[in-house]
Amino acid sequence: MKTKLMALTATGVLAVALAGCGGDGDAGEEGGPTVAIVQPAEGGTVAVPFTFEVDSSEDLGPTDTGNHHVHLYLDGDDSVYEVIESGNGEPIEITADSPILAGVADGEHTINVSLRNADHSAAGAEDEVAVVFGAAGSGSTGGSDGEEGTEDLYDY
Amino acid sequence: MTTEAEPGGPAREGTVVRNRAPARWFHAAVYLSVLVLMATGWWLTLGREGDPSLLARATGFADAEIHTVVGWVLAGLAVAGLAFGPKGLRALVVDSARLRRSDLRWFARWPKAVFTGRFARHEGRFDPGQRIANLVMVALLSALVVSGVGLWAVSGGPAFVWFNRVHRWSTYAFTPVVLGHILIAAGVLPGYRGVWRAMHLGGRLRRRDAARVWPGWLERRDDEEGGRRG
Ligand code: HEM
Repeated sequence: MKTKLMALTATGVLAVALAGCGGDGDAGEEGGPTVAIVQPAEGGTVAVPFTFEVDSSEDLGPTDTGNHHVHLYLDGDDSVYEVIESGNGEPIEITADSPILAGVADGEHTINVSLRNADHSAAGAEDEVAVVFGAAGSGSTGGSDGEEGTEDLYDY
Repeated sequence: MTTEAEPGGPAREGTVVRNRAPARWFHAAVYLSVLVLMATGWWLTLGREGDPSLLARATGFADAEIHTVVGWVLAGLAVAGLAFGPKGLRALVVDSARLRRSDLRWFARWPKAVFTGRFARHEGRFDPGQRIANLVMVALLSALVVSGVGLWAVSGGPAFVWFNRVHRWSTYAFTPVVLGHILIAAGVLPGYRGVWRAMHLGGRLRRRDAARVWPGWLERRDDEEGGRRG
């Protein structure tokens, strides 16, 4: 962060601009911020909507609070994610309209989380669990047509 | 109609060069980056973060990442503009900061003239409305670049909250001005027909369009050209 502040000088602006996009946080510092997936458990099965719980050493909040937030995504693809900015250490529900669930097929997947600074850059803490989607009866919770099967989890 | 012999360009009847290549390229680079920044910035503000926009899908990068990278492109353009085109930028601001009493008449006639093309005469290089828009856009773009770099530099915390407020409110103010500028500059309104050519392709517009929108500028330019030809 200190080096970033120095980049604020006028010449620094150009130098950093030419070097490309920075802002990749304080990755890997000892005693730095932490994030961990509490639920679902490693190797668990997941049916939608599913309960998700994350625990971070940092206060979470929307961007305009200046607090951290968590990006939740699947299979390492961090371009599509659910933003978690409240409920640190509390179970929350991930519903079918979450962008991460669009077009996701039943089967084995990895759930990833990445702790983010308010400016969306990585804060240097990540976690992941391997789970199986759909095995417990795809999306049947509260569903009206209650179809079983191992097709895509959702129709959009 | 006169025949224009432009240095560096073929003679073309009835047209006049308003902006040269460096200004046109700079303008294009700024507006392409601004369009991407407005689209991705609004996407984030409207709570769509994580849900990839068409642009994010096409590039495979998240909207927030695209925004920050293109933000740096715009910051780089601002620095490059100051470093390599200080005269042009200074002229833009100085020529925009002039307002004469007679310009009030131009404003009074403007709402109708947009449709009829019968603008009141003004003497500026830019018309009075354009002058105000130029100043507002330069000021807000500067605020967006400075607060954007600030957001990135502090990443979070109390200073971030302030940069975020400046960034957001500048966006709210900037967006309608830019949309108005695009509407006018695109030349779809009858009064401004043809002006888009002043900044595109050869930067050459029809003399009759120039005479309608920037009459004083056209006359001064003709005098200078005449003087140069001897
Ligand atoms: C035309 C210029 C720009 C516009 C219209 C614009 C607009 C926006 C908007 C609306 C947001 C979302 C703010 C929020 O809801 O929290 C945002 C975020 C952001 N912008 Fe810009 N921006 C511009 C230029 C820049 C520049 C030059 C940078 C510098 C690198 C930058 C860096 C950022 C960063 C890091 C964020 C993420 C933090 C946040 O969400 O507040 N922006 N921008």
